[in-house]
Amino acid sequence: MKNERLIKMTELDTATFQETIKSGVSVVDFWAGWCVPCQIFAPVLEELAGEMESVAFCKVNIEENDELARQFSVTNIPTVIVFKDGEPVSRMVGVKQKDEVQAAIQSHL
Amino acid sequence: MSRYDAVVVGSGPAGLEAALNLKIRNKRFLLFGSHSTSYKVETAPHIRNYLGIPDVTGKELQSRFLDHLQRMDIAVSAEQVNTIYPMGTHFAIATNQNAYEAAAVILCPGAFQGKPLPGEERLLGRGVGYCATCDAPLYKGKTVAILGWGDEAVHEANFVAELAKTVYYLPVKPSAAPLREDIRLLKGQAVEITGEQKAAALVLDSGPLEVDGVFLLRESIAPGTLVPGIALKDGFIQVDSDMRTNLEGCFAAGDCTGKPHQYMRAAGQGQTAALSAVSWLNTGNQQF
Repeated sequence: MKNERLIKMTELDTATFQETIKSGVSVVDFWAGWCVPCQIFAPVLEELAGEMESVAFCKVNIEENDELARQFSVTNIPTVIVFKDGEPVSRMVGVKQKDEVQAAIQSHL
Repeated sequence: MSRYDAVVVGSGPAGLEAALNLKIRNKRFLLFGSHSTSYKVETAPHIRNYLGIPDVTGKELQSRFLDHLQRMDIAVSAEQVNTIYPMGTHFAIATNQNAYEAAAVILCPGAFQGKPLPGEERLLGRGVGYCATCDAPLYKGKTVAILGWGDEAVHEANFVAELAKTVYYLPVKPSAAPLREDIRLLKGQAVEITGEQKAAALVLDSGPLEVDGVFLLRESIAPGTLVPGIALKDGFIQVDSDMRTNLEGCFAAGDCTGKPHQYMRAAGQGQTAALSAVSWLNTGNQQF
């Protein structure tokens, strides 16, 4: 069994969103409580959060923040958007394997 | 969450035979399917080529299957499996309500009946979905069209109607189940799903219907949708003679692997798949 360090992602809302993503590379996971694939996907991101320390890993609950979901056209979840200095640069919809997500983030570092 | 040795998806002869063999080999597993095992078996009028059981009706064969399960203390979970994700170190199985983990997976979902609608695959995940209960909350206050095959689809449509503003329902396969009164029944044939970045309309032979989302609730699931990344050949899951698919730890058996669609073949493949899975689990080679 490999040594996994899982870091809990920061929960963002409309108030804290802009401030967090405006500089550097941020990964935002759009999720909801009733979404089972989101539950399956979360540990993948938490594991990456433990390994990619220069990246901010955050999540947005779309039930509580539907303006954010609409602003970024999130129609299916989980949706992960990579932001660089406030701009969305990459989007993945659905559960992905760790190496695919890592490669997508890495390309913007 | 505790991890199972294996998960079997499908309770026809392939899935049942796989489950029997996993049980005998003392593996911890879950069997997903229908409590009545297989609708196909149940409705078969007459079977003469099932070795050892000459001249039997489908109902009698089904009854024997159920009896065998009971004697072996094997339960079928009727939770609907939506997707199986290969996670690298294990498989994550998503049902409507729960997620399960297993080291190995044996796929016996049967033959997929139904060609995708034009636009369906292109817009999948962008307004087109297969699980209404999963995505319904996303369509709160919006307009949704549902194409339904049978009873389960009607139940799901009724659930969506609690959340969406407008729900249209097209009964592709009829059902006697009661549809909510506020759901608008559609007639005719679905021709295409259109939209640029996301689904915008369901086109019927009578013309286009503007919608925010389309759900296709078929009774069987396309294997490529069930397990992303699985290799197919002519629409069937590609397997070798050990019932191994292209995905490490993932096996398939029965009608989903091709023709001829016969019960004895399905059972035989189910057994082979289970024994291959056991062998694979026993080598401790779960490093994908």
